[in-house]
Amino acid sequence: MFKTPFLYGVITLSILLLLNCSNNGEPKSKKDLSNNPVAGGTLIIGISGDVDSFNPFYGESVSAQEITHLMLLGLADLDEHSDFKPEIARSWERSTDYSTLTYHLRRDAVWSDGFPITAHDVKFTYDLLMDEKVGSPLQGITEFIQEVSVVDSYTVTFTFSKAYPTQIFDTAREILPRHILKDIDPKNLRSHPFGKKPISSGPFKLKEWVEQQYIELVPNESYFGKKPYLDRVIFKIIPDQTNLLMQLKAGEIDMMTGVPLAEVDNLQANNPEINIRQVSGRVYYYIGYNQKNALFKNVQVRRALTMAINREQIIEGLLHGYGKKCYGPLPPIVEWAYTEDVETIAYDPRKARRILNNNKWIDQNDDGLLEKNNQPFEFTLITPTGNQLKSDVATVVQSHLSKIGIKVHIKVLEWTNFLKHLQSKNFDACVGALSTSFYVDPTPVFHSKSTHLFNAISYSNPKIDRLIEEGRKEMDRQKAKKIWDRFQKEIYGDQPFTFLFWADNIVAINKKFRDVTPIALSSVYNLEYWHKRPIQE
Amino acid sequence: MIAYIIRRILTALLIVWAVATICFIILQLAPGDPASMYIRPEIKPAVVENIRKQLGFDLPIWQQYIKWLRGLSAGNFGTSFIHKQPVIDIIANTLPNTLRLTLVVFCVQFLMGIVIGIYLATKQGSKIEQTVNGFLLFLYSMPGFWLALILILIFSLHLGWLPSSQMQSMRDINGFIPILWDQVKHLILPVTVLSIPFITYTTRFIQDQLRDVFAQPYFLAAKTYGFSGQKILFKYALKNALLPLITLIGLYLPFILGGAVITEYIFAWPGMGRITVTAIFAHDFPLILASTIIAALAVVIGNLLSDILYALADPRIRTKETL
Repeated sequence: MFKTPFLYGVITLSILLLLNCSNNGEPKSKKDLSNNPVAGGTLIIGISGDVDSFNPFYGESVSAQEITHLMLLGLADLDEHSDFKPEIARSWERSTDYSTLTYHLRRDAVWSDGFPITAHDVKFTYDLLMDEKVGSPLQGITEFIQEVSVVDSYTVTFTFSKAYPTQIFDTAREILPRHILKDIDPKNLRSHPFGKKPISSGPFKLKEWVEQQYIELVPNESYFGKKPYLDRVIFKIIPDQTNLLMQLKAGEIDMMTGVPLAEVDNLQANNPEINIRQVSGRVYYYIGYNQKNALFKNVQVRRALTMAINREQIIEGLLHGYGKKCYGPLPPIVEWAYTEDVETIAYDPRKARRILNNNKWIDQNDDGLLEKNNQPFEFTLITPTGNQLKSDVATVVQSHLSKIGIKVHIKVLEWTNFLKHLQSKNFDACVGALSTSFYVDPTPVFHSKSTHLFNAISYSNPKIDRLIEEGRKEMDRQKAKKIWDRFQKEIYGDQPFTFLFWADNIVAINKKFRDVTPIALSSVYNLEYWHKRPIQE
Repeated sequence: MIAYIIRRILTALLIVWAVATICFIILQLAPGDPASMYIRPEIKPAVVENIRKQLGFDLPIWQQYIKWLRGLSAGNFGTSFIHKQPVIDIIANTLPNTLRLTLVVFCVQFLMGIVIGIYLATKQGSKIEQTVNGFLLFLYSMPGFWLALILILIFSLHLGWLPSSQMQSMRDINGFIPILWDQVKHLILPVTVLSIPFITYTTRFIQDQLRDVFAQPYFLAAKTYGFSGQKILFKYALKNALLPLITLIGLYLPFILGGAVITEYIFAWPGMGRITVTAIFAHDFPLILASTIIAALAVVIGNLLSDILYALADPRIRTKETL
């Protein structure tokens, strides 16, 4: 009898009420003196999972990559507009035929153990990455790199097998210290202690990493650039979302990313000391229609399906408003290539039904379902377990489509089983989410020759193929932009997917920290400029 | 006796080997491998294939098995894919954390369980017995995760008395007493959550045992001889009632080594349970196998120990064979 959820609810509620009555409205008379940065202070960031490795070749989780980049720099790095700015390199130039790219390194850059950072480190890093024994998921970036040559200690040249626009992306990755790793067997790099105790070339260095507990960074005095204002940055590992949120409210942590969207409004309303930052997401959600299925071969039908799905309502209802409409696979964060100038398909279930009727999908027997040749319009929508948002999307889509007479069966599959269905192309439609990069390459998902499981829907459109090929070759950004504009219009018009939304990443941070700049690239972007507000009692 | 123990140990090893082998086969049969975490549009299939090859997943199952078994016989559990370090190092780091938590839970629950159990057995049928038993049952019925969150809400968020996660503070603390106190503070909430069901269980167990003893003729006889209540309880009744607790100790051992997943997860306690679950989701075969072997060892050793202790403690159980 004690196990009824109702009773727990009542008890929880009464405890909450009691506590709220007794512990409210503590007056804070602290006064903000100025916004001038002052040095000092500790920032505690709550993260849900531990870092797997600080070796940039292997670090998989987002936190691993973000924290690693505070310590290990590349030749160049993306800025908030997704353009490259110098990092270890002062400048770079390409040959006129785009077959080589030469970087000029800063002369004042040193590792935190005092050794200079030179062109030899760059060559060493890329030679190592090209060795297949290393087995790094990054290895793909070396596909078109033929050779890395040291011109002098501070000049390094990459030679490519072909001209392509993302050469800087592929060559600006974090550099490893040659003097530490030069004698290792590439096979053992994965488990090399460097991944646990890296030295640093960036603004911060690792002080302590207590596994599964916390990671503590302190300023790296030998960093060539701006010295951080903060004395310590601690990443505290708290796997449970509820506990993470409670610690934020209690002030045990100062910042967290990925606040559950359902909690954002509540957090903002009841915690005046916490700032909410809405960061553009890099992941878009979609419904993919398997082109091998006769139901989805007709573009009119696909457009009608999209028309019948109320995407605005999904953003409001499932994302609590914290998302953007999606107009195609190019992310808004790649500002130069992104466009919303497409012929949008607005929500209009009546028109959708009319289009389907015109395509001979008619409710012949008055059962509320559309039929053609006595076959009802029904299909199975697969979605993986472990992602509540995807399951919710599936349910909403099912209900929206049922309103125009389409029967959707939802099948929830375990992740690896889900992937198997995609790989074998044995499904009707799927709920998917794809993460996007900071460069434009729709090849794996939309090119007909993609053998990737990402073109699981077997999409093939010669016009799209041509646009992708042209765009991936075009070195001039103005011209490339025109190509990608046409690509976005064409793909949106063709609707191989119903593009649903980009979900925002919500970052919450205590207001005592100023000049904080969490962006899509990194939630700790420009951390050296973050500072604590001077407070006087 | 020695031959008996040796035979039991050999059987135990055989069981552990069988468990590990079955686990290995099941893992291989399940779809997906560690390389499936590299399924992202920007990673080319050839790169994933190469990673699979470097990790040895392109080999036939029997070759992988022999390789693994050969490593195992040399005490090498392999390298974890997610943690990128030898499994043995991970276990060496994690097991003490789990032990710190579970051993405290074990002692707390035994002490409290026995004391409360004895007390309630002597008050059989009274109001107090009914109230305490009812309350214990109430606590027992509460799911751990819910209790954990409520305790955090009260003691961490609102009162600010106790930390809601981690094993120690991230501040620099000096001196033996402050460090010890800091660690004790971090233990209080998780230990409370984990102990409650065990306390209830042990309490009930002791009460039942004592009740049985109270109904025995020798107990009545002692009473009629006019021995004092306390003397009968502590000298005659308890000895017999506590004996079956040895079995209970054996049954608790897997918990002691295996940790407690949900509690570790909520309180961010870096123990075996949490490591194992993360490993399962990431298909981290070497780590899953290592934790399985530890779990199997715990069960087998637990049973073995309680059998041996039982035989040592109670001469009646020593059969000819065991002697």
